[in-house]
Amino acid sequence: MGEEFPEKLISTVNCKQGAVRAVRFNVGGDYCLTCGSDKSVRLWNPHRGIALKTYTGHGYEVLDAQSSGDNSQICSGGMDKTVMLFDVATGKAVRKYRGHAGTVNCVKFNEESTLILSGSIDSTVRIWDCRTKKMEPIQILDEAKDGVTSLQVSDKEILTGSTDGRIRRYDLRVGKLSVDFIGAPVTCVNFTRDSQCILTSTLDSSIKLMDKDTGEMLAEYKGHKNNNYKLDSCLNVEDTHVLSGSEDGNVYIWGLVEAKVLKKLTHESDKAIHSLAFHPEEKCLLTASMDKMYVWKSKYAQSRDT
Amino acid sequence: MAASMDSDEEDSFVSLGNALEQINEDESRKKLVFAQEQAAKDSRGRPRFHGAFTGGFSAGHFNSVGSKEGFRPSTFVSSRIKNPEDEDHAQRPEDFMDEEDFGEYGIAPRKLVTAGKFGSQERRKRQLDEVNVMTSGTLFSGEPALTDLITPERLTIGIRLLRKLGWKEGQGLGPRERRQKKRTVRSKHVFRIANKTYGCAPPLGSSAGQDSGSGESENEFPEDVTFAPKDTTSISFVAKDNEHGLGYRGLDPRVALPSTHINLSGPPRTSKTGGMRGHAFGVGALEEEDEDIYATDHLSNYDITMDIDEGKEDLFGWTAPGRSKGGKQTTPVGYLGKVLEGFTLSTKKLKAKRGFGPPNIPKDFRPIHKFQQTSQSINEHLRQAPPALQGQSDRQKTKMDAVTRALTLGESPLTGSVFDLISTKDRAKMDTMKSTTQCPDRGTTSTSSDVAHPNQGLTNNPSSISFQSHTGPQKSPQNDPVRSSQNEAGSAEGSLTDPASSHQPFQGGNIGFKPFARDLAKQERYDKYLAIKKLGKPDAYEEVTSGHMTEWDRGREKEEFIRASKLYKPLPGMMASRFTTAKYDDSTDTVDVPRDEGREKTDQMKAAEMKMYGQLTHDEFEWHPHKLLSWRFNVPNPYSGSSIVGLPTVKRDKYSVFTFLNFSNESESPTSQDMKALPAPPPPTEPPTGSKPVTFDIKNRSKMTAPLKSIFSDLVDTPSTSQKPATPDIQDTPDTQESPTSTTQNIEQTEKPALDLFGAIFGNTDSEDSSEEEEEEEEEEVKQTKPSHSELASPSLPTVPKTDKVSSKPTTHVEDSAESIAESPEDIELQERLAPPQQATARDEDEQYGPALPPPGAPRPSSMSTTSAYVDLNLTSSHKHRHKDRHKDRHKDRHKHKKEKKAKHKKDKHKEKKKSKKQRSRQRSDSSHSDYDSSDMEDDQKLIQKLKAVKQKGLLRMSDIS
Repeated sequence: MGEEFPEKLISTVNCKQGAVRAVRFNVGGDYCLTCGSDKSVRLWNPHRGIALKTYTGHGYEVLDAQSSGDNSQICSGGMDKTVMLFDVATGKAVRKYRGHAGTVNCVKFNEESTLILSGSIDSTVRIWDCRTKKMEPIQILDEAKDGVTSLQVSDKEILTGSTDGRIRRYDLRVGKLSVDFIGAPVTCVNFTRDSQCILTSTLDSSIKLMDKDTGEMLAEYKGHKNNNYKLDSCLNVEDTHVLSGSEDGNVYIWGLVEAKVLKKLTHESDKAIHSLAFHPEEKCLLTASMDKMYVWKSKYAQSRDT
Repeated sequence: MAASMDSDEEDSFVSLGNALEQINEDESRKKLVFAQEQAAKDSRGRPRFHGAFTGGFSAGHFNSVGSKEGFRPSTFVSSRIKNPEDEDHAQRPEDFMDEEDFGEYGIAPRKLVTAGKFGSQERRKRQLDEVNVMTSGTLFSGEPALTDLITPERLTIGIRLLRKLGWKEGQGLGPRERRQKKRTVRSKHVFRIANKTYGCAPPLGSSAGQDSGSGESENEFPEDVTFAPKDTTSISFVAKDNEHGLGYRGLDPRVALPSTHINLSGPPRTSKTGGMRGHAFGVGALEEEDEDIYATDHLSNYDITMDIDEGKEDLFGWTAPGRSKGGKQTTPVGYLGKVLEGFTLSTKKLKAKRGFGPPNIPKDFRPIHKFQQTSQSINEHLRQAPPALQGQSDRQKTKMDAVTRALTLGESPLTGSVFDLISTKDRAKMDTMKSTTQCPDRGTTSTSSDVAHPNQGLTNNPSSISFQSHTGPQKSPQNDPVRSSQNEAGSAEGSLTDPASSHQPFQGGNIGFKPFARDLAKQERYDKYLAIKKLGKPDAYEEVTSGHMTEWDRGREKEEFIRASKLYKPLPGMMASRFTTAKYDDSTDTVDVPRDEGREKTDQMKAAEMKMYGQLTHDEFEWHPHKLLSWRFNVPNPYSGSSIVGLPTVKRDKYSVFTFLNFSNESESPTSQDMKALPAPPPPTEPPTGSKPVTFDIKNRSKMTAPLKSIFSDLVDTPSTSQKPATPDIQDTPDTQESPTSTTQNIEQTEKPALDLFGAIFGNTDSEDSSEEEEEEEEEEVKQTKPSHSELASPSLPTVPKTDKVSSKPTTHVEDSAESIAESPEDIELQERLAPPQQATARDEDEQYGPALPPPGAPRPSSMSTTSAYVDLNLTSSHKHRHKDRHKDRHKDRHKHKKEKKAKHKKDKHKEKKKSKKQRSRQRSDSSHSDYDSSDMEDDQKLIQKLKAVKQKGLLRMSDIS
């Protein structure tokens, strides 16, 4: 397999919703969500650059969102300390969960989209049940000593990264919490596709690939700059590359195994690329910087004229 | 009504009710009425009830069922063509009602009512609103009583309507009339006016001519001129609903029972000949008729003449005094003006009313009021002549405010907070202390060191606030005297105390928090650690550790200390649990990882730094998911039986502080908490200069045996324990005067601050057992301090004889005990504050028990004139209150004695120095309060002393450590 990166900038979309705090693909990769600092979540077709719908209801900046597995719902969380659940079709807010004492940094559905997990700066992860009318979290994971910045949910695990420099993996099947001390504040955690490794970004300009079970470090990816902001990192579809935003306005792409910078995607501005999302099936990358969303595809892809 | 004789008969009648049916005598009384004929009909004779099949009750369009028209349905209108909500075709409920339903008893009665907008209530409200709008922001806002003054009463809607119809004030209602009518109106007016001529007694027949005269003038009006009808008040008829006779009136008690004195001796007021008495009640057989009991009527009120006179007819039978017809009105010769109808000129001349003109306003008067005498200026006056009470009172006789009055009366001024009781010098000290603690050169440890002294915010900040808020008008009179007297008298003492005070930093309230009270050495280390940390040294712990500890112990203890210092803060528990302390300093770009934050952490950190992730950085815990969580994840619950959620094995023992502290943040104030955890505060370090008393530690240890006593357990301490140290204390007293200089620091250090503070605030808590010796001891103190008060203004007064007495006291105090039980001046504090100054002076006299005051007439080389006045006050007081007061105060005094005594336990050896210090401080501050009464001064002094002691202790400790 030749080295193919989503290196071609297909389109630049001005989201017109203030700073784009996060950009997320939906499950199928056909649509994407952007979270704006104007309190709205917007649904796009990134491939055609069309804004489909805007979801409002938050009281402050929206920091994270995710669409459910059946694409019928969107959960989002933001600086208004609430977690909201939107209905995609109607655009109306279905639920608004209050309970966090601070900004909600990250939200995730579980696999079946029956639960919403939200990590907050108040150092807790709250698990909300969308199936019932109850507005209280069914469980609060308050083991973190500092704000929870990132959250991943697999079929049986909950992975949190916290600014206390630790990643915590709650294994529901075994009933175990494993804590790995990374050192610097963790800004982003990701499972690899095989769910055996954990990719963690930390505030010391380093991304580490950790073995899930033993906590050993498998690789470290350096070269980018990440000292102040919560920058996303991700893996590509085939788990061959590690991608991360950087505070110098580039997206860095490393090889997973060799841990070398293979490519830098230069953006028009040198502001931090704080959010990025890789297409779940194709070679397509979404990045967000300031108020724009960038769509990157393989160099063989046709560029779109708009 | 005889009035309407010349108007149309139909108009004048008012028909009320329905006329009775004429009874036809010929008809048979009872006629058989068949059932079908008994149908209920409405007012128009139509049937009200129909069969159920024909529409039921009042059916059809306008009850048209059964009639010729039958039921008339509304025509169908297609909603496509025409909007069904069009008003023409829309069905309204009214369409299905007939006029009966709209009637008074119908289902939708319709009657004319005043719209709410025009009702009087609404009008009033609007008026009020207007007033509010107009007066908002002015002085009158919110004064409903003044509304009528501000906005004129609006005319009612009726009057306004009438005016639009052409009606004018004073006219009657109705169509305009011709002259004939007008005449009656005129005469009617005359009648009305005449009816009101109460005061005048017009001569008979005086006005008749005028009437005729006016009649002549009326003829001049042309025929076609119409006049408005006369203004009449409508007659209201009262239905007779009782069974009394016509015209009966019940006995009115106001009339029947005279409220004033009945003049029995005088002749009856009404003459029997003229009167016509009401006979509503019979008079008892044995009673004489009393004309005055009932309302009397007079024949003169009735027209008893029968002459037909035009003018007279209009009077409806009333004869007013002035209306008697007769000759023309006589106008005196010299009189030029007109005379009103019905009036005659009085022969007596009216006295000219004497009027008083407005005062002459000086030309330079400006209507702006200036308040010249403010409290500020009073203070200015006071400052200019600080202690001279008499001169001051003379000068300010007219311009006194509450504060100055209180000062002259000898009352204690209002104290807003305890910090008001602190002398200015100490306040300054606290201020400086505060400023030093707030200096920002902390570096990386700034956050932790700030946290380390949670109570500091409680103690220091309020103090600063109180300085600002209370030093204004109230305190300023005292401040300057303090300084002046210090300059004058405090040459010797000032030199003594200054080094001490400057040396003592104030260590907030953290003294009280004793997390490691069980381990004395550890606690000591902890205190030291806190102090050092507070000074801003980053590696505070390194300086505290004792050499014999192992590395592990050291690390562990250090972590404990850090935790304890961080975790114990007054932030309410709920909130505190929500936050964690910042890991790194925000202000710097580079992150300085603290060199060591406990053992396991450093291991982890090291491993992480060396990228040796794995064993060292990996931890696994048992974690229980909520059963719903695992349900939703489609995962079998790993701990199906457990009810635990989350981490079951959280190591709480890590926080060793918490194990013996109960955190009830909301309910308890931090100070009280402190005291709970504070059985006895061991001094953290030795003072570098003085030698620590050997007994000190032993005593502390004995206290350590019961470390978790409550605050009150200290108060209720048994006399047996407290007695022992007391004796050396007393024996030491003779030294008081001799060695005031040497080790003042040590003394203060041994005091127990928290309790004293507590006592100072909550002055009178009862405790059950108190030994008389204690009280006596207290008494001694009083005696000792007392003379110092008397010399407050005269520092050069010889105090030697008094102190001699005191020193001789210890030998004799057993005999004196009976006497000395009673009086303990501290307890009276509170009472004193409440009691009028007279009592206070009386008590002062009482307190001259032991050491005799110098005779009042004794020459005092005082520079200030106030002292003499002050002494005079004392002398004039009586001895009356002595015993009573004692009795009362005993209870209150007890715990204070104990406290004092406790303090003495520790002080024992150095007590004398302290006393001397006390005296000195007293003197100083006394002179500052020289315009007070002595008793109040004393009270204040005591409080101040206590507070000072508390504070100084803290300061001392700080300084010692440093």
